[in-house]
Amino acid sequence: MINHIQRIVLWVSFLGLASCVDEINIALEESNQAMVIEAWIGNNPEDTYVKVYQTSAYISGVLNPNFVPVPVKSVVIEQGVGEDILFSQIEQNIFRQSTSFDPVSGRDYRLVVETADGEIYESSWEKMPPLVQIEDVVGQAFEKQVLIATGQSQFIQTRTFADIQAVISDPGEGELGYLIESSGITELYTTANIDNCACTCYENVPNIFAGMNVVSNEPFQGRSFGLSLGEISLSTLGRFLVNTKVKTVNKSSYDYLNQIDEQQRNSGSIFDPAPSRIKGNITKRGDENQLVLGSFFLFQESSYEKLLFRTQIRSEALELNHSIEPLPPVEASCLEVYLDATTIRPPAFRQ
Amino acid sequence: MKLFFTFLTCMTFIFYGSAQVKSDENEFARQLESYFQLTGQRILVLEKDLSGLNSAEGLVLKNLPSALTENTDYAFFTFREKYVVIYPKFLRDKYYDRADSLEKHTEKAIYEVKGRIRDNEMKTFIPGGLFSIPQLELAALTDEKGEFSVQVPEGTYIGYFSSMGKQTEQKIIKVYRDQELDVTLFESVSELDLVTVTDRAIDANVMSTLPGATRIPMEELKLLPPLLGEVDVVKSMLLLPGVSTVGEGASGFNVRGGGVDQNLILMDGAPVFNPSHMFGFFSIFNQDAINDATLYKGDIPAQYGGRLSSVLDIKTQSGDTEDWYLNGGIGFLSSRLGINGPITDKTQIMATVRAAYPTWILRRIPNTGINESATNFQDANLRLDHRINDRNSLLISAYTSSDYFRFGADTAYSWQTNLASLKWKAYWGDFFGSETNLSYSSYRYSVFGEASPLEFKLRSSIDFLGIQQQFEWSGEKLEGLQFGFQVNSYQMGMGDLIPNSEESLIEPVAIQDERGIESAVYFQVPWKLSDKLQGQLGLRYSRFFALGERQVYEYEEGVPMELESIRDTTFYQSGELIKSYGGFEPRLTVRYAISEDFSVKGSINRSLQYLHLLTNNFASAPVDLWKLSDGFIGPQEAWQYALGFYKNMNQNKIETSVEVYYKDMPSIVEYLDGAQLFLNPTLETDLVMGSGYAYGSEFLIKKNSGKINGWVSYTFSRTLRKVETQLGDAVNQGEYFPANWDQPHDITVVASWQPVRRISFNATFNYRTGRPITLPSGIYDIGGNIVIDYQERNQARIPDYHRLDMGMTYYFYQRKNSNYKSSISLSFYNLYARRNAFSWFFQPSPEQGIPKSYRLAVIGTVVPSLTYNFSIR
Repeated sequence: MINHIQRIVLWVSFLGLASCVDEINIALEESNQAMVIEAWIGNNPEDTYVKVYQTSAYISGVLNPNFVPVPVKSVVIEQGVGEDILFSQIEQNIFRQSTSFDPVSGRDYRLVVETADGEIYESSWEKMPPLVQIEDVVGQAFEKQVLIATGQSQFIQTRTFADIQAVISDPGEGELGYLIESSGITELYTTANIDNCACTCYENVPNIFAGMNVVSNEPFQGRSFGLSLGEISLSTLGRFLVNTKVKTVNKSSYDYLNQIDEQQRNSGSIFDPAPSRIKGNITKRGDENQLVLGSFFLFQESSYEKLLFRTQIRSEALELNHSIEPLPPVEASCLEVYLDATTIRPPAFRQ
Repeated sequence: MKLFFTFLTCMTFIFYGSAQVKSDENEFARQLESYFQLTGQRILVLEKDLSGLNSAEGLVLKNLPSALTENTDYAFFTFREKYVVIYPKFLRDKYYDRADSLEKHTEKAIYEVKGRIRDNEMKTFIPGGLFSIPQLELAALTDEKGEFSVQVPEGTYIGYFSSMGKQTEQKIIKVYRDQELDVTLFESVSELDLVTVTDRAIDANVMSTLPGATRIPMEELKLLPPLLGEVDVVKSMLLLPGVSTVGEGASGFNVRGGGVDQNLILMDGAPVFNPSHMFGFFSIFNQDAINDATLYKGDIPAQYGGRLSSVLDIKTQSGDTEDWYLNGGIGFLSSRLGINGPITDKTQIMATVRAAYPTWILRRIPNTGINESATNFQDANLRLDHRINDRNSLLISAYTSSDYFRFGADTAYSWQTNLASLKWKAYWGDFFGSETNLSYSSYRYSVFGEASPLEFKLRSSIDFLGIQQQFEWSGEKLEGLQFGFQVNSYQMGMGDLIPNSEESLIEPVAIQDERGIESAVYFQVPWKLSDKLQGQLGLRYSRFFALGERQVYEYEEGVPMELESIRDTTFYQSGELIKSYGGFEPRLTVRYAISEDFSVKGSINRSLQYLHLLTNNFASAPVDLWKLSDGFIGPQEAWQYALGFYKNMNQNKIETSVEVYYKDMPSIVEYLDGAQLFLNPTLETDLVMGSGYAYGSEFLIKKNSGKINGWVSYTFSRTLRKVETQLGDAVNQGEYFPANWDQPHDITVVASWQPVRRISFNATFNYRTGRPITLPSGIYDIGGNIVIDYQERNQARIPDYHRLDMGMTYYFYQRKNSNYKSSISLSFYNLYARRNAFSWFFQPSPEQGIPKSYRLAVIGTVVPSLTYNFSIR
């Protein structure tokens, strides 16, 4: 009884210390449309494109925003040295390079877009950043408290996770930013009472980093450093395939991306800056006050893939309190439990 | 005598002593109140005299004093048609004898009778206590130090000492030389006690010459519902019209359209740079250490300067001169302990400590974000009073505090405040005195990043050292003249980033410090053309010197200031002048008394501010950066014009006022969109000078006396700002935009009900318009991330705010002269658990669509608190 009263007193008395966050539905459908130009130019043709469109209205949580394409006459990348690089329209509002393009580190480039109405939009001259190769991907175990919810009750337990890092060597050529994208495939085991069970599944993990992963090289210029790619749970037995891309961007692009990151992490508290418009490096020729959103990014990208063995990571940190979740029982296939997975073993797991 | 009674407040001496008298108490009290309602005259009578009076039952009300005393041994006399004092006839006979004697012996000597009235329960001196000698029709109120002084002809008299809620004491006073009296009053236990003596004139709101000034003694603050178990000075100030906050959790407060940095907050003369513990849930002012708080929001006396909007002057209390006292309070979240008493007959000490410890609660909340969080604070006050001799005294006051807050696993914040002041008061003659105040204030904060391998410590600091010398003249001509000078030195640590572990990869970054000296000379004098028309005139001249050692960038002309446009650098040696600003700050108030209970007041004042708080957050935080004016950022400037109408009704039981103001701010500091304020060596590129204005009207109706009292206030106010730039981006396209704290409608209701002496109930209700925010204008995509394009600054508002708090205090029974007294307070903050929005924010949804919108309510539920308060003599 005393414990019960204590619990009530604790909860009632101090629940107020915990701030509360509610989802609300805000729809601002009558907002003004603004011009957006997003241009990524770099050493990976797949990721090199220019998009020209108008903003969509803000409606909280809507899955498919309706961006209105802007008719465009030409999209050109001007080089400080050399010929212009022409872009042609591939989809309704997406342009890709018409000719092959080998970016030169340290060279200046500028984007020029002319719309069908004859309005010209141009970026400032930007410098191509250096290419930085990923040397390795490693995992290091650590402990973290997690909230376990079962039925009506919730409780907190300590679990182990692996902090996945990409090892790079910063070239020490001034301030840069690193934009990191990390995905993976996790191996999932189940158990069954039959011999021919398809008990191992493989499930894509689209992003192992919560949110945008952009890092300044300011703390480690010219040094070897481990860029955090995200974390994976060590409470399961299967392996994990990490697939990561690291884009090097120049300082102004980093600042721009960092503002997006801050915007996405804003939690409305007194420590968060009041939101404001993010201004890029593109203006309308002859009318610099006209609002143009988006930015012109130059990048050099390297990628890396590595299969991580959770068992090995755990064995390198035996001082931690590892616990393994029991294997889910199935009738004949792991797909009974992991609905979005596949039983086809990806090549990287066939070692 | 006339002078003394100008301040006399309504008072009734009634006590219960015998069963017979007690049986008639209710009827008697009702008759006195009815007589007051009918005639406007208060009847003052001692409890022990009640049995000798005629029964009140059935008497003709309009002749009540005569009827009560007819054919008894009692008489009465009337003061200025407002007060009727009933007292034994033999005293009156003495008075007449003395009057006859005076006619015959006019050479009779006059002596000074000085004294102090103490509070047995509060262990303090009582401001506004009443000393009277009925037979001379003479009375005086004690000043803010609990002292009074009257000139009395030689003779033997019976003196009366009384105060609100205290048993009146009588003493025989033999005046054959100068006398010094020291009287302690005990709490009255009479349920009929209608004494309503206050520490200010009952009609002060009408007759004082300072518009927009409010002084609240700690006793009044304690009648308000405590938040989290603490009576809070700052929270109480927020209940006054014209004072607001942007939301729960925000540090500081806003006064008449000013930012939180535009309030000068002083504790015993030392400036406070962050008045908040735990993000404003507690203030740094411990209720056991505070004597009173005065807020100047209209006309600011010339002795204060350096801020545009208001002055909150907090005075700590002195230690008791006779006995040692131990007092404190114990609560779930915080506890406090204080001691005060005499060290010698000339020296008293007051010391308090306080600690808050909510972390043990946070750890038990099953939320991983919260249970890894921690917060606590500790603070301590120390005050020493020493009387060197009759003409010189010293006061030493010190304060220290430390706050710690950890949010989640890898970021922690800490901040410390240290204050010290040394005050020397001297009297250089009968009419000339001086006060020298040497003060020190430091504020330091640190942000700790604990994510490996980037462990860092980001720190910033303010060091203030100031001296103020003030002289005051109290002779007949130019009585009340004050003049003096002030010199303040500032050293601002603008931010250092250092690695916080041996393995950390963080490169140290040091932003150069800023130094400056602010000086001022001033005078202020009351003026009086007639009893009806009077006021105050003040003039302050301030000058600020931005000093080296510092490296100052020069930027290309004709282009926006940015890193790329730096063309040269100038290095200023230590103490070398970088830039100087200054100006006159006139202050003028006028009061015209249309009648005894109706006046009109006006004021004009100009203020300059050389110290600026830089924040681009949703609200001011403890880790915001302060900056001095320099070659790029000039002083902020404001002119305030205020006009007020003050009307008291029902014999001053009800106060009403309407105040309107317009504040022109031709120079203010604003930040540009996307400003980087921390660790920015070119901070000037993210700041810009703007202008603004604020206006508003404040309505107040207040009931001062009775078992139910309180006030209702309504404020309409607007505050808008504009930033136009010749070069670079303007804010809101150069148009006016609402300030973060622009909340046009603000209604406050404060009520206190004390049905019997031992229990009181209180409640406050506040409604105000939601504060401005910036909403999305549209969305677009950058590399697969949906980005929000925001509208111009502050073009929308979050929902309106309203909240009800209620509390109750029960005073445990104690006998007169008991050494132990205690009470218990139960309060409920946000009684109906409204989730008032602090902000709206937008975060990506897991489904990768348009970011979802969320409401953050800092306190989204009812918060009860229970505190046991005690006092041991």
